[in-house]
This record gives sequence, C-alpha cells and structure tokens, in this order.
Amino acid sequence: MHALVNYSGDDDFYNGSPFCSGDSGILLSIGSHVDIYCPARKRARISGPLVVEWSVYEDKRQSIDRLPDECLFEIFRHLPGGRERSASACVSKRWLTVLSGVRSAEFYRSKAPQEQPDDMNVDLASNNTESISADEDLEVECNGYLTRCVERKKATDVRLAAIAVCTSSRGGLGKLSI
Amino acid sequence: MSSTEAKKMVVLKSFDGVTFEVEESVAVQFESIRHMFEDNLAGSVIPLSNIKSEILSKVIDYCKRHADDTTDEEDLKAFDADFVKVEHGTLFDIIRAANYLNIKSLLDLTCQTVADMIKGKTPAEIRELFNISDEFTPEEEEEASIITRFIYMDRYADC
Repeated sequence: MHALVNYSGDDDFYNGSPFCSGDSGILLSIGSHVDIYCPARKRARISGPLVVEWSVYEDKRQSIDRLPDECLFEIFRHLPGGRERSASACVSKRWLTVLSGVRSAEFYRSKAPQEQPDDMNVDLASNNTESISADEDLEVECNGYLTRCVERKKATDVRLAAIAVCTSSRGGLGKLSI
Repeated sequence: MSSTEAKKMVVLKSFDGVTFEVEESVAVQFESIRHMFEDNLAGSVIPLSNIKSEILSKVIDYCKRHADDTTDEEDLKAFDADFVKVEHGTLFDIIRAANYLNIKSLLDLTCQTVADMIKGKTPAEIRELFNISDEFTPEEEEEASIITRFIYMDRYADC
C-alpha cells in the first residue's frame, strides 16, 4: 500500500498538464510562454538539454549554436562522408560531443559508393603509421581491424571522442588500447 | 471530391500571438500535435508557443505544398530548392520548428541544406560561416589539430 501512495505522488510533477497522455510525444506547459516537447522516439540523452535550450529562444544571434543538440544531431546525420564529419568534429567541443554520439548506422547516405575508398583508407593508414605515431597515437592494421593505442594520461574525453568520429568513417575501431 | 465545408480546419497560434487557420489535411503533417486535433480538440486553438509567426507561416506554406497531390514532382523540387534559400537564422528557426512539430520531410530538407553548406569546408571556415565561438582550450585545440591531420590523410587517400 505504501508503494501505491508513493506512485500517486508522481502525478504532482505533471500538475496542470492536460497533454501528457499523447502517444506521439509529451507536451508540457510550464508557465505562460515556455513549452517543452519531448518526442517519444528520441533517446533521452539527446532530448535532455532541450529544457535549457528553449529558454534562450529570444536570443537574436544568427548562430547555429542556438539549435538544441537534437537538431545538430539531425544535421550531422546528413553529412555525406568521413571528411565532413572529421571537419565538423574540429569545429567546437559541443559539435565533437554530439558527433561522437551519432552511430555510423544512423548516417543517412548509403555507404555503398564509399566502400571502396574506405578500404583504401585503412590500407593507406597502415602505411602512414610513422607520421601518426609522431602524434603519440599509434594506428596499425591488425588482422584487418583498425587499432589505436593511447597513453593513459592522454586519453581525454576529447581525444577519445575524436578517435571515435575519425574511425567510424573507416569502418569502425577494432581495438583500443589505453 | 469533398465539398469545402466538409474540410476540417485547425487553428494554430504562434509565439507572438498570430493565429493561422489550416486545413486538417495540412496539419496532419505536424506529427507531434496531431493527437491534439484528432482527439476531438478540433476547433480549439492549438498554441505553438516557441514558433514565431514568420517561421510558422513558412512551415505551413511548405506543408500546404506537400499536401497538394496535384503538384508535380519537378515543381515540388523547385519549390523545396527555393524554400531553403533563406538567411541562416531563418533556416535554423525552421529546423527547430520542424523538429518541434516533428515534420520529417522538412527536417530532412533543412538539415541536408546545412550539411551541404558544411561540405568541403575546413573547421575554421565552418566556424566563420555559422558564427561559432571556438570553445576549445589551447590543449583541446591541439587535439583538434590532430584530427585535422587525419582529415588531410583522408584527402590524400582519395587522390
């Protein structure tokens, strides 16, 4: 019975919201001018920052930074190739973070026309091992997998995210040693 | 053909208080608010409190065109191409609205437009294009430059 009382207490959180029974999404009215829409199909970690983002709607800047992560995510899904993804990852920390969250299967463009150059990239990358080891990262081709070694103190979030973005365009990382 | 009276109308109200009356056949493309006028709420005003009237009218215009079965495909393509020829701020507002209203075809069109702008540019050019402040610390900038080297590597590989 105690659990039942606790459960009904949850309703207080949504007080005054007539729309939360919708099946395609939840629309909460909070205050007089701020609405938060959380589409049911999106993953929670993407829609989270929306709460903050909507409140800056009045900001007149023309910058793409105004867009919530969810919209950036959609834009990145439309990037045609690894080169664009890598370039976008260098733009800002936020872009890198959002981009590293896009799985390779979630990109729109079909991989088929790029399959050939991708294979060549892996081969060429293994030939270029020397130039990369100068950057303390080691990239070798090992049983057909792309492998990377990162020193522990160098394994920052930024670097790991960067590796994730760069390698996803070449068929993914086979092995990561730290 | 159904008569004009038979068409159900939905009233949408923008952030700045402007109301738009649209046919239900157009409004059904707004996936996220669809249940609101389908659940016997037709006739009442649906508030869209984070979309400006200027953007909402563009979005409705797009949905009207795409709801019209008589438009031929070439015309629709030309319309889409013209539709995204707007300044960046407007384009981002449309993306935001399309995402909020969950209009997939419009979200695809606008996101593809931005992705095409990014194509072939360096990180610095992208920052300048979209007026993005560089948030990287000097250390992270170094990390970023490492990634840039990978990009060049890819470029050589393509040659």
